[in-house]
Amino acid sequence: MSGYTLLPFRFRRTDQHDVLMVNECGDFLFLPEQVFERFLRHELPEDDGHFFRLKSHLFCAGEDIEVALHKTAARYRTRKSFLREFTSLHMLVVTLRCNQRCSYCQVSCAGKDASLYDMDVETALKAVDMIFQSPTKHPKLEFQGGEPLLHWEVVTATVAYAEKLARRLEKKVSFVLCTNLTAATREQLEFCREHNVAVSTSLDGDAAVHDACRKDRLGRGTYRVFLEKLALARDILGRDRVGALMTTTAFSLDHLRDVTDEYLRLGMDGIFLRSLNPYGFAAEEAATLGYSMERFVEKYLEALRYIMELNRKVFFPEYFATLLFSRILSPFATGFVDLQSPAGAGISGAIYDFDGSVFPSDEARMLARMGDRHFCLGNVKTDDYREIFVTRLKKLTFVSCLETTFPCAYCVYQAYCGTDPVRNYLETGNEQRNMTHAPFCIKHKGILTGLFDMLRHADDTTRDIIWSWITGNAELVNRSC
Amino acid sequence: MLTLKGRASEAFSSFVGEVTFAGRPFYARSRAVLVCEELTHAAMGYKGCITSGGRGSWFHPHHIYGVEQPGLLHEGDIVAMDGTGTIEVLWEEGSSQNCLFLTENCNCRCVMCPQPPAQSDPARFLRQAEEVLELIRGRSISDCCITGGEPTLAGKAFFDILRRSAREHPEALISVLTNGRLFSDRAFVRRLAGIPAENVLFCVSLHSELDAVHDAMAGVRGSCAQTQQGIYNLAGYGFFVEIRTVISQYNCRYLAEFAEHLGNYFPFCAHVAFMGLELHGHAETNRDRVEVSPEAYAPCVKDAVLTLVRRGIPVSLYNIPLCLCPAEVRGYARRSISDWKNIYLPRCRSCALREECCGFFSTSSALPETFIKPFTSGGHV
Ligand code: SF4
Ligand code: SF4
Ligand code: SF4
Ligand code: SF4
Repeated sequence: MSGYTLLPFRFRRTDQHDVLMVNECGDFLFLPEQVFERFLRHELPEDDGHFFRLKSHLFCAGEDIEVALHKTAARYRTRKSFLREFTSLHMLVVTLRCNQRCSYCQVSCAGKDASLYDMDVETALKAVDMIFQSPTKHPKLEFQGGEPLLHWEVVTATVAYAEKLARRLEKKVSFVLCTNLTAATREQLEFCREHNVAVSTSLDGDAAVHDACRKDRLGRGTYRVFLEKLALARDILGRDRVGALMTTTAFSLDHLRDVTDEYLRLGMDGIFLRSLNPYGFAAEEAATLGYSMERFVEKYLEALRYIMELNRKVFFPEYFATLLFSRILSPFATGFVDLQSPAGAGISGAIYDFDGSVFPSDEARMLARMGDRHFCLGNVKTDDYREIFVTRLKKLTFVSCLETTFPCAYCVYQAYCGTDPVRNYLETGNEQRNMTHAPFCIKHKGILTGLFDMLRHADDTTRDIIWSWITGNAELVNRSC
Repeated sequence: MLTLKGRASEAFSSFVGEVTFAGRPFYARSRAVLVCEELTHAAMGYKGCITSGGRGSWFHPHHIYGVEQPGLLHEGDIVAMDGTGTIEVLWEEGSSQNCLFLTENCNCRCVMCPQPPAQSDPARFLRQAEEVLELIRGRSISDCCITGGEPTLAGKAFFDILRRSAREHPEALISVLTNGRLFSDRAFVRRLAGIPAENVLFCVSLHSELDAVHDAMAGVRGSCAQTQQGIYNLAGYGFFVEIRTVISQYNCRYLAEFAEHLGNYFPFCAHVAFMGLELHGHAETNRDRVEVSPEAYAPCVKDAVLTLVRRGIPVSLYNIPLCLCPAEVRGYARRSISDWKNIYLPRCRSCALREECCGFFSTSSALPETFIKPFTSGGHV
């Protein structure tokens, strides 16, 4: 028996007769099965090449255990540093009204004139007051709807007030406007340019795919108008200030390549292949729009391989893979709300409904619209910051740690995965559940397995591509041919 | 260090002065050393003189005569001269490679140490360093490197000299060449408090993250852990840290994993330098154990460099001639060998990249001649 000490890690035996090992802070290694067995039994000679690799990736330590633990702790701290940037993303539901009626819309969009569902200016300013009490130095305000363009005066008032507070409190505030763009006017877009508001819009694919779901209130496709307004927005704001997101439905699931091509054709910087969120309106239309998570994983990975190939010629990241790859390969924290433990809900992001109610996530708000206010943290008009973001949020945080969830506690992907107590509650009536057959788990386990397969077989160019996505440095890939 | 030889006018003990060719007014001569062809009465009142000509008279200051190439000196250089006829250039005006040498002692015993440590009294070096600092005060300098041996062994004097250089020369980059071991001690790092961190770079030698490998190279068991702890402590105090890794038989095969380890656990490091061997001192004695052929190290170095480049960590290759660098990473090779100590082979004369190439250490006992292939113009082989 040799004198090394094992450091904490999780592992999974793969179909390729090796073992994927991930240590407590997310460093990983593939090891042949027999070597793994010998390693566990403390029988691996300390001059073996595999032993060196295990040591290098902090799966064991000898006399240097102190510094090994120091390193593990440092990286662990960095990964969890999103907890210090508390709370950076604040979403304001400016109105529930919308000029469109998309088949998968989760907001149960009220008719165009139902001004009952508008946030009034007073509530908006109260929300801003609360937002600026968050310790973060970089609050990000996201205007959501419905369609925020339909209740514009609240957007402009909020921006002006937030800018004032930011100056006074020496914080750096940024704004995002989530809009379908189809109702956008030149004045509104010019306002965005003046106040540095980034635009995030929705594009599902080419005309056929986009129009299949994204329709106006009379049921007509919106693709054509969208393209006109996209051109206008880019013209006024600049290309890099207008981003687009897609939602995969049964209409596009088999055509993710075409969707990618459409994004490329329109000169987008990259694409985020998002699965459908199975709540809200979408649940009622599940039969036509939905698909199983297993199928999504399969199609997603297929599309990702296609995008990888594309990247040998042009820099075009897929953002979900970028996010997961940076969690796997880099020691830095990623600020993505959905994949944190404790859950990002409330900690990394919070949402303010039109009536001033505060929720830890969009789904929590949706749940309230369905009649269950279980996750409502309070209201900006009646509660103070401490009550909402300390007392009540803490209760939620206790039940939102992967480290105490089955089987995540033992899962090899724990360091890269996240948890969503709201979704769990929606599915089972409980914030914590056995994740084994949860769609969330099927998706993440499947995709992570696919990404690790890519890493295992990655050649130099593939590595360059992956790192170019993580670092945003397109130059890493030699595209001279 | 550039050293000139001549004969001393008489036995005198070592002193430090500032070189002038142009001459100085009488009142400003007490710290200056006049360099001239012949000693005349114009040579009076100086701290010392250097001449290519003959010996002066009794009324001349201490001088060294019969010096062959006094033209290698520059106006403003700072030299130490002594009664054995030796002139050492302690500070070369206008050079970016100036050092303050604090001690010959070291607490490592590296198998590839080009300047094997010696148990000598550091008092003379410390005095010289103080005098150099005194003389360059108020000058605008670009770089200053505090080195040894292991400079931290000078203890209080080390902190004083570092503090003084960093404070008096905020315009310069002050680098410290160290094995970092002593910084693993919290009480020791704490003594850095009050030293400005903005213009100080600690260049720490770490040859591997694996203690078996690093300790074998550094010759001291446990030094790997101490050096790494030292790096964390230095970074914790807000100092920039560069990691310097000598490529040898011991660590060559593991360089790519090492680079990955740096990306994972030392992502804060400001720069990583992989360095070719100087086959001198211990490296020469232990040649069989340390030397790696360019063929063997090329792929390892390539992988290691690309690993860091992908992660956005600045990286350089020192002491590796361009024709021995794999093409993918040639852009990271620097002209690292000091001008007074680099040479080229006769066949380098036809090489198109000679100007950018570091060449070889004139001190190395052997050169990998068979691998040297000049580039034809355009840079393509
Ligand atoms: S544009 Fe947005 S808010 Fe409007 S219906 Fe479509 S998904 Fe719903
Ligand atoms: S959700 Fe699934 S993939 Fe994620 S950590 Fe838990 S068990 Fe693993
Ligand atoms: S090479 Fe090693 S032994 Fe030589 S001075 Fe540097 S640390 Fe000391
Ligand atoms: S031929 Fe000489 S000058 Fe040219 S790259 Fe090789 S060593 Fe350098």
